[in-house]
Amino acid sequence: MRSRLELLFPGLRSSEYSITSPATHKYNCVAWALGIVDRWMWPLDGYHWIDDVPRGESIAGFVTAFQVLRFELCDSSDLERGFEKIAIYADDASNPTHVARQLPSGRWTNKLGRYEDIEHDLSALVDSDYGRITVLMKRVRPKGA
Amino acid sequence: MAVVNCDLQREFAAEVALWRRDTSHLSSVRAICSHPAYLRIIAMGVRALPYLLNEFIERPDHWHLALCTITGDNPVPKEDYGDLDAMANHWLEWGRERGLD
Repeated sequence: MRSRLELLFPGLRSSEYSITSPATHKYNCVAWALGIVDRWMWPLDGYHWIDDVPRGESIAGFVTAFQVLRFELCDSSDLERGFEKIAIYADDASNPTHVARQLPSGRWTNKLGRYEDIEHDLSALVDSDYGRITVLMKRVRPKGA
Repeated sequence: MAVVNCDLQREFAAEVALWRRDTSHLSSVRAICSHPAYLRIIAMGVRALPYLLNEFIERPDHWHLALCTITGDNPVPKEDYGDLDAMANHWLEWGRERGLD
């Protein structure tokens, strides 16, 4: 029997993944990508967002916000020693839908809406309701991350 | 004291269940809050306020936008934006002040 997550994200059926947290409404993928676990982050009124960054719900707006946090654009999702990477997903209309963060192991961690965190291969969530990966960014991995 | 409207209460509960089923895996607040069931809840207007406030405090979720739209008010200070538990408490207090609890 398919799990709830495999029905929502068919790419998980053919890849190895693990659930790494209980389901919670307390934070979302953007917050989790930044290690924040007590609030939802989204560039809309009523949600937490990065200080001094305009609330623009676009890929360009997300890139600007992450650049403020010292991320820079990159071309590869391959693990690079000393760097932390994120992947920004978008739908067919180029609306941002999701953010994933690479772990030191090279695997990726995601907070799935109000569901759980999972560890997985980067391609496993592509072509779901999250759409496709449109931007990769990296920064020097913070100490302890 | 709020008057209970059983039909509206059932309709509200059905829309909440549908909305939650379809959006719990989503990360985009815009996608979550533009789901048709969410918009139908907003369209219920002030009659849905007691149910909405109760739902928010029982199961904190993305009800802030709906409440702002229905009431034209916003009792949540910016420092609590995104903290759904804190936001629910602010709205609960807002409802209490207006006899909607």
